Amino acid sequence: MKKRLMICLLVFTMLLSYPLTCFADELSVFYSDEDQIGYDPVRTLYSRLYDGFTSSEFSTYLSQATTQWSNAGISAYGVDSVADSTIEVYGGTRATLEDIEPDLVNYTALTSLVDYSYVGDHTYSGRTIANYEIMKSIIYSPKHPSYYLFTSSKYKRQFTHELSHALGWLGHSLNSSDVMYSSADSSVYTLTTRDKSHLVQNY
Amino acid sequence: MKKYILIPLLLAALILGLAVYPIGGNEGLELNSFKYKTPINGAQGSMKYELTFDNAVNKFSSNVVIGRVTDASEYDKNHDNVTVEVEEELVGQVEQKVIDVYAANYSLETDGRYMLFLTEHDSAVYPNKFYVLLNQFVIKIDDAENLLLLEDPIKKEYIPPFKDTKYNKLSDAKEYIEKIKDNNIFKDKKKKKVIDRLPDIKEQIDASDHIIELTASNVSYANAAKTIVSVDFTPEKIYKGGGFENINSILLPAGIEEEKTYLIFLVDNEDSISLATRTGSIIEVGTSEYEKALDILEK
Repeated sequence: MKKRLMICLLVFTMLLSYPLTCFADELSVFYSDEDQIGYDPVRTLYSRLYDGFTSSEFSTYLSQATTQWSNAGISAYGVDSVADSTIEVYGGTRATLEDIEPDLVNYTALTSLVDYSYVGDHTYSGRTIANYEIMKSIIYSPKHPSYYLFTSSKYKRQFTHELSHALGWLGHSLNSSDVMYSSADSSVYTLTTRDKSHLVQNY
Repeated sequence: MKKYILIPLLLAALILGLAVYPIGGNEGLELNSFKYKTPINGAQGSMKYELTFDNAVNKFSSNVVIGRVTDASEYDKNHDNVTVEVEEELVGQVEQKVIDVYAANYSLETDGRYMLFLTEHDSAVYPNKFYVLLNQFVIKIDDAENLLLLEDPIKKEYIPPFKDTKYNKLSDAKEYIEKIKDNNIFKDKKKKKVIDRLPDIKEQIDASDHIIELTASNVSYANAAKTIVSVDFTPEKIYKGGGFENINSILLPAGIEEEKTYLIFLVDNEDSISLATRTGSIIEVGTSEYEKALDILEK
């Protein structure tokens, strides 16, 4: 009788514990100041330049951002139509982009997540990390007036930082050597191991 | 199957079924939505300055006002157009006592009294001037004049904004703002005022830096509210100014149609061009207004 009860309990425990481990993945690292992370399963990217940047500047900054994430294993694919895209990237003067998205006035650059869906939770060191599928994000990456003293490195960082948000890197790193550090004064534009490992685990 | 295998199997299935049911059942609720998790309408990116109270007053805001929300309507999926009756101006001056505020949705409640941190947005592609709310600093004022910082827009949860409770009274916060507001970065900025309309075409021509006849080759909505369009164009004739070689796209108010030709009046700004006036700067070719303008332009 005891043996049967033991087997009964064992089967019961195994059956319950298996699905629980499926629902909540334990993340191996987590560097964001917000308890959330996302992923864009489609990653089709539409870009448009209004004014401000030269075409060459705009494509250089954008391409170094996409190449870095592609090298990390998260590729975005260029498309010609907004309707086919999950990521829209707009370049232009601050005045032009602030007309399109007035919230930009409070940001150096802005990624607006406009369509997303909560898909469950991960855990990390006892914290609950909300996971989101991102269906549409819009990046506003402005050319700043000359008094902002924005160098080429800072623009490269700006484009990489915003693309990272669109790909699901939500919140900011507290480490100033990371591209995902919050301050726009940083000139770091090469994704660090921390930047990459944080997001790659969610793909 | 043996009973001692079948019973736990059924029990586990029952428990799992009950556990999974509310997950599926709650999917559509706001509490499970992104807005609940991130109160700032999914806005990611680098803020211009560190989010401190001093920066909210002096760097983020051209205007800080005490006001009451009299109306709020959906502007686009993530924003509301909020009407605020201004009671007191703490920093900067508003031209009218009733202002329009562009705010993240769920952030301001009708009939609520607030201390609002705002930036003026004045552009000729919009029908009127409005103010952009600093969505991270929504401070409600309760009946006892305590300040309450909005923490969760969906649950409408508020917390005292300052750790030191002595500053959480409206009178104390006003006194503090008065002390520091001389450092406001907008104070001495001279901003060109957008003209609503000029009385005649002669003045319209004189006020414009550029006058161009263009054909709209492609028109698409530029913002979520569909109030602005992005127009790809082919220049037909330049009557004044110039330098459009590298510009083949312009933002205009919605209503422009593809394949139609327009006479457009523009002015230079700091680093961009924009319509010379809110109304009267776009004239469709072939209309009587166009003929009048052409008479003067070709003299």
